[in-house]
Amino acid sequence: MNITELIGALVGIVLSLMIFSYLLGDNALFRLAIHIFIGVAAAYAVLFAWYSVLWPQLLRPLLMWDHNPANLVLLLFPVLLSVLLLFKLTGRWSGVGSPVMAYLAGIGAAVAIGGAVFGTIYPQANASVDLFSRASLQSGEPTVSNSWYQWINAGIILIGTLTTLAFFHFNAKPDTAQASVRPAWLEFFAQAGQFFIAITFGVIFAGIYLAAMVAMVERTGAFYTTAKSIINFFASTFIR
Amino acid sequence: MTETHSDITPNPTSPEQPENQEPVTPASAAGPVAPQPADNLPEWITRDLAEKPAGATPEKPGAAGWQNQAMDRDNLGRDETIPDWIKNLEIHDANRDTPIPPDTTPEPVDLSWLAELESLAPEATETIETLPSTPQAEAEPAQLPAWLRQPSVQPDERLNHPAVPEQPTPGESFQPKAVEKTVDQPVESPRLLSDEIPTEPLPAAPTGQAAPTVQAAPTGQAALEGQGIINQPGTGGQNEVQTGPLAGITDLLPPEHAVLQLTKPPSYLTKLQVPEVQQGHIRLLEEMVNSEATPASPRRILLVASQPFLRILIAIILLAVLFGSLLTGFPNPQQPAFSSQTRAVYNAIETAPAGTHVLVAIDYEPGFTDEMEAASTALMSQLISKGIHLVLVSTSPTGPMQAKHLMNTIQAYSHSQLPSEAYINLGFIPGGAAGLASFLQSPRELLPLTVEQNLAWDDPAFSSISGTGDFYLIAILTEKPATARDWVEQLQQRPDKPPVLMILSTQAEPFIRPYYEAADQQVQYLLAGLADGVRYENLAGNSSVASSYWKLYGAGVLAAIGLLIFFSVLNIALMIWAQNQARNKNTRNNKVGL
Repeated sequence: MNITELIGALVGIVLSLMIFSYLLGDNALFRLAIHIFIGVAAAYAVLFAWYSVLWPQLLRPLLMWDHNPANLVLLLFPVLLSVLLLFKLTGRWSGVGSPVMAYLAGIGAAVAIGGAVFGTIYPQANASVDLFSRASLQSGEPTVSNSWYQWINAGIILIGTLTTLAFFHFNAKPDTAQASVRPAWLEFFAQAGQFFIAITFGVIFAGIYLAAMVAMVERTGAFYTTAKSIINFFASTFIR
Repeated sequence: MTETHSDITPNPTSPEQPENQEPVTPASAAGPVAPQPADNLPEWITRDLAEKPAGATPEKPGAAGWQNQAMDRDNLGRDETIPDWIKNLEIHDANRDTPIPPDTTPEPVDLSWLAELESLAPEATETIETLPSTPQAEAEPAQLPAWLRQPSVQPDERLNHPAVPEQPTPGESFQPKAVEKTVDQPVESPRLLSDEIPTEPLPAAPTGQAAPTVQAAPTGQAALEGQGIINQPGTGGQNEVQTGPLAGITDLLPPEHAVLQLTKPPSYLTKLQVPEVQQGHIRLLEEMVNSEATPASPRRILLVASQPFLRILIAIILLAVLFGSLLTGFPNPQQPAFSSQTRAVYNAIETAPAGTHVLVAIDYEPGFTDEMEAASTALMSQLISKGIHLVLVSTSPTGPMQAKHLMNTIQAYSHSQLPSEAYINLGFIPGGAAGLASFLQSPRELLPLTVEQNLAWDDPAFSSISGTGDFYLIAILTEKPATARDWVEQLQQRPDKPPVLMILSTQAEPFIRPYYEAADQQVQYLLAGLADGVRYENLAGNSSVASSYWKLYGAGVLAAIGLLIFFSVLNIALMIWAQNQARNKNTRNNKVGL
């Protein structure tokens, strides 16, 4: 490990310790480290947007115009939209940028809704129905246990789907006595759906914990490796 | 008291009206009915009159003809069951000369308009007294109703009547009193009463209902003159009535015509008529509003220790376990079990022909670099070693830097310089899902340059790529479920969609697994977390990042499981102890109370 790598490792260790200081509560060291990370990330994003998007995709083609009027229109149109969008920063003339914002929002909504309908809702609903199809139940090795497994798996998925949807069904008739209540059968399904939702949240929590554990393992290993490198560095430098 | 009825037009749909009260049609309740020729009578009336015995109940001198008919029908065969109100009516008729005491305390009514009305027609009552001497009355004496032959009541007697008649009790007919008061009016004619004016006694104004008011009462004469009902003085008869049974009578001011010109503001109910369902909603809203103002009682939590202390304690335990494992090499967890899922990915890479292209999306944030690189380093190394060209893109601004870091890591573990044609880093795809859709449609047009500002597609290794279908595989590395879903959804709409490999963080795996396990797979290959990274390294025979983490990872997970079990048991024990304490306290209190 050369001196540059050693300095980099030391900076990383110091910043990690500043983040770990949150164990003692919110403090100045923790906030300083957070501010450094936010500032670095923001600066990086601005520079990357300039070098990766604005300059190569917006300005450089305009400066390298091939004197074709049709291409000029195509090049000026995004520039015009970008300039209009800047008016959103002003209070008085912010309405000038509203058509551009409407265009962006409309395009975004159309793409997102189309993708959700044809990429998630329909295929997933179809997949849930297909679990009970004869072909799906006879997939795999044609054994009795396999068939029963497919049936049980499909049934659990069906019950979990329906009861979870029932849990998010909030249509309730007002009770003349006190509070609004759901119908009894719907309340039963909602309770079952709550069970499935609890299992889902447990799985998600376990995944988040395992992902964080990998980061902690890496930092622990980095501490150990850096400390060992520093000792070796000083040992090789001064004990020689 | 017709004046009162006419002045204040009652609301026919008044809620205060008794339910068992028969609706009185204006024609029937208008008071005395003018006698008509027998030819004009309906058949049922003529039949009734023909069947009426000669000794039937004689007509009461003060009652109207319709009332006498009704009384006749009531008395047919059941004279002994004469209602009390009819008897009272007879008593009242016998005592006609005596003033009728009001049933209720009369409300003070502004009758100045009446005095003004009478001043306009000062000889009205006198004319009534001289009515038989009129030529028309002498010519048709039989057509005059009985009430018209009765002596008139002096105006000051009329003024003694209550402004609002007594509200009849349910089951009691109100007509006798109405008739009794009606027949006292010498100036009233049945034909002059409009059918549009109900003459039933006006019920007392209900609470919450706007009381009708009288406006411009004495202006009736001018209106009558305009309608031609009476003539102007000196135009032929000195206010002579032109129509009706009182035709020819001069200076007679029929009050109901004046009333016709009266207007009153519409009455509105101030009490809301809210249905029961809406009342339930109102109660719910009130409960919600009240509950917002009520501070929630803090939940009683039995704390083992303060939260900062527990946080520090858990951190110390975990760090101690991790450093202890680094120093001692204990525990040494087993390698993850074989997985057909990982084997499928490995086989797909192994069978990929050299020179093909794989699109790699680096869409994870810096906080997940370790896990994502642990899961993907061995696979990327295998791709590069197989001679497959990688096209790196990202929908996150930090993605290009992560891609560069990943390539550096692969190079570090491979201990060799990566070939220049191994990959190109196209950088950031702006625009979110819309930009992603545009890139999948035409990648060359959207990202023509690399991060280093070189022309990306001029390299011979990548010049053959023109669309999404030219990629052998699309690998997506992300820890965000939304980003993974965006890729799946946009790729689903591409007809030339290549197989999709998802390399995920463990926190995103539950969201994406349904796309993988569906019968019609939208995700054909899946690797998730450190465990799959280790499995893949074992398959590829390339121990790198994941294997270096595995030992510490096992120790940390083991410590976490131990902490979970320890604190769960501790919580259960504390809960049981608290319940026992509460039970013992109740027992002692009961003993003290005894």
